[in-house]
Amino acid sequence: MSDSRHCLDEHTIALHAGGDLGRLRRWLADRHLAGCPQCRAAVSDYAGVLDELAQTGPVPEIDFDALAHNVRVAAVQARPVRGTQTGWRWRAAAGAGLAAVALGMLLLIPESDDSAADSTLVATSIPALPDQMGPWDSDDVQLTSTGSLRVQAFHPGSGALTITDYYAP
Amino acid sequence: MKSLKLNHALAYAALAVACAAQPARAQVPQVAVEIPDGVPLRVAAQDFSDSESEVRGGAIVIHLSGSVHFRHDGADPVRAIALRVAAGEETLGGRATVTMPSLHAAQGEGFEVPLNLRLVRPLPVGQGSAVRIEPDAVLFASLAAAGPDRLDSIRKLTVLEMEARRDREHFLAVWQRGGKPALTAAMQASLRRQAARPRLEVRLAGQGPATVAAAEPVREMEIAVVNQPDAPLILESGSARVRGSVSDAPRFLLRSRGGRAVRHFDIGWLVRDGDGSLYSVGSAPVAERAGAAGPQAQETTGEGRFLVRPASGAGDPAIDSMLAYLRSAQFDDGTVWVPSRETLEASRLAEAVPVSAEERRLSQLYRERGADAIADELRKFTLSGQ
Repeated sequence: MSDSRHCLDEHTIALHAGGDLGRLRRWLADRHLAGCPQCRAAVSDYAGVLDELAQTGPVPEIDFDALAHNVRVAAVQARPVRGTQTGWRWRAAAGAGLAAVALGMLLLIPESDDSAADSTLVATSIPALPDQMGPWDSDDVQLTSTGSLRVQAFHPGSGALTITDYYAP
Repeated sequence: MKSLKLNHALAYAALAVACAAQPARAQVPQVAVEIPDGVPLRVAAQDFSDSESEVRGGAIVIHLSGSVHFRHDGADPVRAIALRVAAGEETLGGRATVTMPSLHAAQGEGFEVPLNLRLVRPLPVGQGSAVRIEPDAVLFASLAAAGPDRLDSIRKLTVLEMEARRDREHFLAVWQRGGKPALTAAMQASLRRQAARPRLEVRLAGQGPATVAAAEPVREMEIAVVNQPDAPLILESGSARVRGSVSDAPRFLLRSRGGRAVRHFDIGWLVRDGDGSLYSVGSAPVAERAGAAGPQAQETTGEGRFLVRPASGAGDPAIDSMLAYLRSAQFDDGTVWVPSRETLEASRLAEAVPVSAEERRLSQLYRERGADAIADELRKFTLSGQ
């Protein structure tokens, strides 16, 4: 029998699934999850989506810390005012949105021709300036602190090379 | 009553997750390609019929697959283009740029930009095209540029083009000195170097304590600096906080070498682990630092926090030492400096620094078509005066 007064919010569930909860909060969450099948199912759903997405991208190394960071940022932005009658509904909707955002970020990595050879994620700094990033790193998929990604692809037919940058808002 | 509401809410959540897991049937999204004022290009053709969009949860995931064929109406040949691709401005993953360097399109000629990317757009969808594409910048052979430049594309394209010219000149000299055998050897050496370059998985370190052992001591580490004789800025010193495999809060002291004001510069950052391997971990771009032209030393700081791990997963290396070098600089007049190949090779930075996009393109072209194709490619740019 679960205690609905202490059910985990979507924010906590997302961070738990992304492995980004601190030790104490994880221990508290695990303690609650042991007796709450609904929250266990929600965590399982999140983890399932993350697992599924990890297999869809051609880049084998997925940075779940950064993903959880993105989810956390989106969660803070989408968080409803506490104490309203419809709070849980909004949280459910926000959770769905977060799942979509997380899904979207991982789906962004395209199937470039060189992805098999380049499995490295490289982070650059400057979190506040996604548009001011330095010159292109040659052959790496990059993950920046703002959640931006950079992918290079060589096109054998035309002999051309394209560089795709995805920007956070 | 409260329990009933909770059940309803959970049902919504379950439905939402189910929607996310089971996308709606794919559709071909509408794509609009627009040319901003002052850009001498026309859209000759576009084909995105292989693109798909599907509803996942509260968003539409658009897999944009196709190409845009541009025709060039200006007198100055096009060298590079950066396309701004937008599905939802305010959405994470809603906008991107696709850059194509090393183009060779004279007046009246066309060129094709392939696009293969995924974007996210929130629901509900309003009126109009799902995806909008427009040139953010076009760089010409004279290094003049056109376009709205909303994403700082002109500077990025100029750096790419300067690196490309440097590397084309290098391989052209190799070809002229030793012919096809020498060019073949140089291309094979480049491919070997790219394959052998040590790879690190460098990621943004989270704020939580889980990624760093609590017992690791924090130490202030000097960053060794490599200065190139022709660089417009001198790196005097650098330091960063290091804790295990996490480096944090880099600081650099720089001094101008000449009298030209520098608008933007980019510091390459390398890490040496306990085994002596040198890795490139990224760069610290610094923008809008007016006054860097002065002869007195000025301090600048980078942001971010790096967690360094080998890509092979073989253990967790401690950072033994760090190295920084000036990777590019843009002057106030928009011109760009990049290090020469001779300097990079003399300083042994070339072992760790990633090859340029152009060297990568040429070496891939060699792998696909052989040395003669590279010679043709180099000749093409030479005949047009770069």
